[in-house]
Amino acid sequence: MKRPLLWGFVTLCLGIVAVYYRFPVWALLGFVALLIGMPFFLRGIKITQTVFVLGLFGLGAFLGYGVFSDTDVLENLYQKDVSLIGVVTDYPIRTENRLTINLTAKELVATTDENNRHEGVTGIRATIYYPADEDTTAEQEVSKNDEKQQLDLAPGDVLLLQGQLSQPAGKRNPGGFDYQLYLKSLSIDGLLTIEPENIEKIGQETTLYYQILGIKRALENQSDASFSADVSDLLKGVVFGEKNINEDLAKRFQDAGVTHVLSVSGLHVGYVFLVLSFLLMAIKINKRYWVLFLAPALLFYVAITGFAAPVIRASIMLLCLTWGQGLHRERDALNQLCLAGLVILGIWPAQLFQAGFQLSMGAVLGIILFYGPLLYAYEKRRNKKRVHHKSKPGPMVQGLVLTFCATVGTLPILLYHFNSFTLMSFFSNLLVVPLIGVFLLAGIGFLGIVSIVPFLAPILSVPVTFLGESIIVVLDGINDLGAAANILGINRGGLSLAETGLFLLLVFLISGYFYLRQPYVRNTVMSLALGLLLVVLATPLIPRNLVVTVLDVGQGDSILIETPGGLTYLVDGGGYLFERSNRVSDQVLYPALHSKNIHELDAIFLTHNHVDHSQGVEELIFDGYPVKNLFMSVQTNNEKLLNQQLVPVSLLKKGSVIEGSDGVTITVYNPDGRIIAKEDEQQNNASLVMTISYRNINLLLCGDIEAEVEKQLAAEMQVLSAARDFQIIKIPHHGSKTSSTQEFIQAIDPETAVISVGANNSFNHPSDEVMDRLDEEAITALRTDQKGAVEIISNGEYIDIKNYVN
Amino acid sequence: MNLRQTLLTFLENNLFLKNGTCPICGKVLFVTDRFLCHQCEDDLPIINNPTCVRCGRPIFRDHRDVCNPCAKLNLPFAAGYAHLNYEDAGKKIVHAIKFKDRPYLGIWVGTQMGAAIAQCQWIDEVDLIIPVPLHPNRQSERGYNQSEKIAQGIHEGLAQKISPAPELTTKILLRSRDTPHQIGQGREERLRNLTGAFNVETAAAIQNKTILLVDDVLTTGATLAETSATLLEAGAAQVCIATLCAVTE
Repeated sequence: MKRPLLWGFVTLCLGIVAVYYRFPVWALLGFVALLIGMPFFLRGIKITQTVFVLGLFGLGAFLGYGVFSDTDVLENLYQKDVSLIGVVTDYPIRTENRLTINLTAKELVATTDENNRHEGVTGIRATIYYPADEDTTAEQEVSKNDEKQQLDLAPGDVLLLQGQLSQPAGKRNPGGFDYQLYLKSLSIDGLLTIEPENIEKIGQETTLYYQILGIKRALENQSDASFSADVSDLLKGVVFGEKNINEDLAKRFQDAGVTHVLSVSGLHVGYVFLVLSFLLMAIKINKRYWVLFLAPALLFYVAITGFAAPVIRASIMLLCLTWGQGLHRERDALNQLCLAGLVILGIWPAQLFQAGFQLSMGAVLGIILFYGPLLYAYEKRRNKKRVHHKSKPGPMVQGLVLTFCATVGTLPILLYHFNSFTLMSFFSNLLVVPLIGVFLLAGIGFLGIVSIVPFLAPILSVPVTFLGESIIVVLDGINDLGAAANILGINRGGLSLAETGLFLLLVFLISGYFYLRQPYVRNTVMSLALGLLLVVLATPLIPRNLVVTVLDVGQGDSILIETPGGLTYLVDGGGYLFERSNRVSDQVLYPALHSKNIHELDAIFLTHNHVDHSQGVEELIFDGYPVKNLFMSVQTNNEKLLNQQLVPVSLLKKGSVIEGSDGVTITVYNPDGRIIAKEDEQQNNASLVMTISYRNINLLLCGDIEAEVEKQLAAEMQVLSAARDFQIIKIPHHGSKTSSTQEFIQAIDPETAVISVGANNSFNHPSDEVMDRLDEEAITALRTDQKGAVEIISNGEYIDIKNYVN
Repeated sequence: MNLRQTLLTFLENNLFLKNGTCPICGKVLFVTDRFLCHQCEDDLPIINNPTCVRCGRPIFRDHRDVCNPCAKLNLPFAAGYAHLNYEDAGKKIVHAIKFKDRPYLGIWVGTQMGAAIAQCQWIDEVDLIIPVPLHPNRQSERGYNQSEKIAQGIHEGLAQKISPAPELTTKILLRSRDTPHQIGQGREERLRNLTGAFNVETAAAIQNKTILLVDDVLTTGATLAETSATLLEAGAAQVCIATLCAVTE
């Protein structure tokens, strides 16, 4: 067997994936049997190799169980006050009014119950919230003292903490970010919220790693002292992969499609390697012994960057490369990549699901597979008619091909995780990557020299500042260009299996991987490509289901409706009662729309004008998101939306019907009467109450109506319910006790009730009374605070309900 | 030493592959045991025009049987075989063998050359296969001698076709002077550089023997001519040559 490492890596990944998705046992055993049977069917596979591959599959499953076990060890402690002693593992990150500390604890004990404890090493991310505005001077004094103490925290400090433990949120919405999985990849299991006074430093631990972090911090402080904030952040990001940098700067890099230069990646290790090999060459070390010098140096760099997966990957690959050169053996990049992957997953199995790890591996894989062949194909084509003076591809072409290959490897991953991709990245990579290289080398040189001779800092900082500023200027230029040509950006959800297959097939085809001269290869490739193309083209034509997704926007409402005919409606957009820095549309709506491949909304319904329903709608409309119609209640008082010129507005009242050609009908039952702008206090009862009907399936969306309107509607609903059964109701007003009267619920008589509500909201929604009422009527209640987004899928006869948490 | 060798073999098979990518086009080779991808192997510029009877260099006008350099300079070869034209793909293979740490590629190509040489009439007369040596300094810099690897392959290839195959030896001919790289030099300069660079260690072993001299590229023929002259002076009966690549006249 060629490349047992490759097969080993693949099976390790499979093992982890199998555990993560809880594959049935028979599937696992079947796969094991297949592996065992391999040597009997295929020639050239040694028993030892089979054992190796099998062992890695087992290891993958074992590691997977370690991380994604059935029972959460901290389960009994969630939402409880706990005390713990933990060691700080990294410098705390400070933003506005909070301080985030990562620590490892050996033991957690519930404050109220001595017996409720968890022993064993646990990763904890603790957050201290400082009061935003201090009323009295005394408090100010206290918090200032606290701040002073917090700012001194360094890795290795042993802290005694007391606070509330909570579980990190998983993926709660389509296209949403899985915070829990992300933290798991950093070996963090729980979140702790603490008051500033409940933290006490009780000791100090010193290890080599913490000392290295100390060096890093000293260098960073030097950089802060010598440069402007932007340049300093850039330097910290580029040299150390520091994540605690200005969001605005990070956004600019992201817009230009070159985030990878900010998060330390293989690129940086490559440049560091360049410096090191130059040094080794200068002091005339035999190449055979290079690896002995490089290994500790790269390990140091890996430690300084906080053991980031891409850095480890690149370091392992470069070490293999130099080792091979020392032994005069041809390197095999694919093998090295797999070795690096094995090492990383062996330490942090949850990394497999992280965008950073996947992008790093994907980009390198793309380059390994396609760079050489594509460059060769280009060269051959270019020199077709030349006999003499054959030209070699220049750095420009090389850079373009390299970027293309990396893009091929990362595109499916980017779309899957971030639902967006910019073609500007080709252009920006060509410009920014060499600049960053120079900047990185200059930065390392600067920090190196200044740490020895500090008084040179003011002089030496001038060229570095110039470089840094010019990179930022170039970046801004690129972003302006990108904004002017915004067609270059692609927003869409992850590729389907067939699309990925077709994409890969095409790339392999143009790089010449298929031996097309042989008829059977040609025929197979052609038929495969045609088959996949057919599947891709035919997928949208297959009759789809009605999908109603009650999004989890916290305390608020937002319901996305996709009809079988491809029409898309959004009912309300959620919103935050208390102003927050992030917008609900960026948090929930856009990711959900992108991940569902929706590029345009046929209609937005705004049931009533309260911020927890309207904020997202306003954001979408004033962002210029393509919306064909805006429907509001006749009693709405939202002047802003009524007066805008972007989207045609229609006001709905009882009897309005919106009917699509695919048989999905939306009928409005409330409010009735003339157009009148009701005051904010009366808006709840001005809510649109709508039924969504598709064949035999009927859903009722109630907005925020209260008992008064429910009473008016009850009789009518009774008749309606008798004529056509209601299966699902969106409970009015987030389950408030002033709504969902027994009479109304009985009149509708649904099987399932969806409650769109935020966890631990200040209104105590949903009320126990309502929950009891639903219980009495034997109605299944699905709460978005518990289940995340609730997806109702129906073909008109049957209903399938999916939820995003668990 | 044995442990070291075992470790090295293990690494060669599992980490540093012998044939991980195609040296010509750079495609990753997934399952094949061969060293080139299908297309590149098909397109290999194997010499099939009439060739010079002395050195194996391709000749374009077929009414001659000796190439220009051989005729003009009266090069001392009895017969010759060259495998590939020294152009795109040929250049890349030689480059990979010489500079990219791919000794096994040399052996593999050598095996194919051996199979082809087995068809030549003159092979029956050959008693010894000798690769053009490298100076120890150069060899330690490169890690191995590429001509030796090719010769090793030729030996293996011949052994499959004829028996007994001529013996391969690297101990007889040595390079006593470290000469600079010859790239970018004319024939005169090359000859001047090379004069007296080689010497025969055990002259007794080659008395009246026919020797197959192996080198990677035949450009001007300077190296091979100098080596042959050294061997003939030391008492060899005649010298045939085999080169991986040859520049057309």
